[in-house]
Amino acid sequence: MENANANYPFLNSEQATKYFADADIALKQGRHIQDFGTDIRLFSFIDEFYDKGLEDYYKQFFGMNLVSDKSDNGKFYYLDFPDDGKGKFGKENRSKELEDDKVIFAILFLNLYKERFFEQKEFTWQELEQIFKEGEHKELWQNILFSKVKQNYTPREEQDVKDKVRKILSDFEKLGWIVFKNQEEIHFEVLPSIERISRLYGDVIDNLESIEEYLNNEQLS
Amino acid sequence: MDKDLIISLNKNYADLIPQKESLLLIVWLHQKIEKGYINEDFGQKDLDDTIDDVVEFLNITTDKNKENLSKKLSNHFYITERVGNKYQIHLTVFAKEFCKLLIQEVQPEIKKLELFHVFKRTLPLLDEDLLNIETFSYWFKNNFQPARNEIYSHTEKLNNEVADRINELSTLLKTETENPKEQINSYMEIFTLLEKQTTGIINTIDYKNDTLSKIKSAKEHFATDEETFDEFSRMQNEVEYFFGSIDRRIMVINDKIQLASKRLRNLLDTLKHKQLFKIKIEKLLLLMLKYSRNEKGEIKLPDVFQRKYLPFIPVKFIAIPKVDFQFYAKAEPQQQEYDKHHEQSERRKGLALLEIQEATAKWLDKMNTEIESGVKIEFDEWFDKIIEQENNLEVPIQVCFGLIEEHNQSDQKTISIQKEEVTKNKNDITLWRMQMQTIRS
Repeated sequence: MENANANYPFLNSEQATKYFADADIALKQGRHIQDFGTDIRLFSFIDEFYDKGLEDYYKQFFGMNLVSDKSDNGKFYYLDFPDDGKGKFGKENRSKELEDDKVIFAILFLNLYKERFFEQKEFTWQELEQIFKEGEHKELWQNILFSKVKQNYTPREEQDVKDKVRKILSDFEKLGWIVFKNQEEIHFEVLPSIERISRLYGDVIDNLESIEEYLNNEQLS
Repeated sequence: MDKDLIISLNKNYADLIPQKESLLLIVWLHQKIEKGYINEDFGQKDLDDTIDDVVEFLNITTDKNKENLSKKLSNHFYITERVGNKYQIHLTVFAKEFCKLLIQEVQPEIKKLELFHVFKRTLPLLDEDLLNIETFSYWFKNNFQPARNEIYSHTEKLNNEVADRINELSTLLKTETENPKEQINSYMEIFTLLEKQTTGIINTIDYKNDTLSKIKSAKEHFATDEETFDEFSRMQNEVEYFFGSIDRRIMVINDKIQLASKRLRNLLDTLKHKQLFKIKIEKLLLLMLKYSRNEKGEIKLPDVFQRKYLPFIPVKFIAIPKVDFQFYAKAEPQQQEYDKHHEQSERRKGLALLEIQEATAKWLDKMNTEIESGVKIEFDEWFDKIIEQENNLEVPIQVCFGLIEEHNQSDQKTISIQKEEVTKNKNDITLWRMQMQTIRS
């Protein structure tokens, strides 16, 4: 056991006793751990032991990459699949698809995050509503959110959309991409780890022209 | 240390260093004289008018404070002379020099002039200046020595100017600004100006090197007698020392400018790169919005956007949420992940139970109707019938219990159970023969 621990020195640390289990569970649930809020202690633990066997541990036993990533001033950690498969996370019930609505909202929040280079990255429901109802692409937003473009929507329709957005945000909070300031009112802060969506869709971002051409042709045919 | 000097300064401090209001009054008067608005020997009215200017500028409201303004000025700064019936006032030399020093400090010429310009204007060394020791001494006293302070002062200002800009840049990077890119562009302009100063600095170094080599090359010329040579060497050493000192100062300034400019350029490049990346993100969002559709309340992306996966192992054991109230307190309980498979199996169990209850009730009704009509029920026959139709052993058993329960409570119905075994071929079970019928009263 001691020999094994020599390869993974973090296992011998006092912090591992306190934080490894929580960090491990969080990472395996897809959480992005950063120097923020309730994750501070887990972040410090990972940050300290990343090069002391922690990264190797996930590679060796799970075939997964423990990624150390950065966005502007924020550093964060997450588990990612290797290039050639899914490691031990390839089995059923060990990964989940990022649903289409979440992809669109994650891209929206990344965009908002990038817009506020020096400012606080906090947003309210009113700001989102403004994007959906008065923004440059309001018709497109209304089309996908309400399934139709109208002058006014019923309170029920409005509430359904608000609930849907709250649910998406709640899932993002579990991933560590945002943190709610007020869940009921929908007031939240986008965290640096939202950058992960650009890593996930890096191939798409690099090939936007060809994708646009393909979509245009699809529409014409 | 001259202790008497310190004692004297301590004693006269309040007279020598004016308070803010008085200082503004002296400078205001000095500026008016410089610009020719009032004579060098000005009258009481000019003084009163200038006091009014200061009072208005400082927004002084009480007459007492206004009155005190001129009274606070000591005779170190102005002298009043009686000429005929009138009084004439003039600023002392001390006041004028004091004003010049202040103006030089707060409005340095650096903003307009390069250091090279200051050198060129203050330190020209012509061939005639090196004709003999007298002409060289004249140049030394009348050009070099006054220029030395001017140049030192200029380099200090330049140094402060660069330091201020760097501080402002640091602040800019820390604080929130509405349009950082625009602000950084304006800082780039400032640094471009400072870089121009750098060119001036390089020219300055060249210029002073030329001056020094000119002096050095004249060395032989002054080696005629020891006294002349010593005098020449003393002046040459002083010039050399000064140039060496200036060299060090301007190299430090130059390094600062270069470093800050480099940092700023990197920052701007990063911003440009970020801007480009953001444009791509915007375009991606637009494409997604444009080609997505809403199908029965679900947003669907076109297939060209491949589905992406995240690692996710659900937690199967429901635990009390671990909420760290040091950071937040949620109004709602944390939603837990649950075992969907378990939930479905529980639901199936519930449905099966319901089906059994429904079938039991149906058979009980049917059998009760038969009993009510006076027919004697042979339960083992009905047992076969129920099994055949329901294909579930639970149903006839539940029906049997139901009948016993119901008929035991009724006076008009009887159940007779004989301990005679009836063996069934199916299901490997054996029953006691049981009959039920209504008693007619």
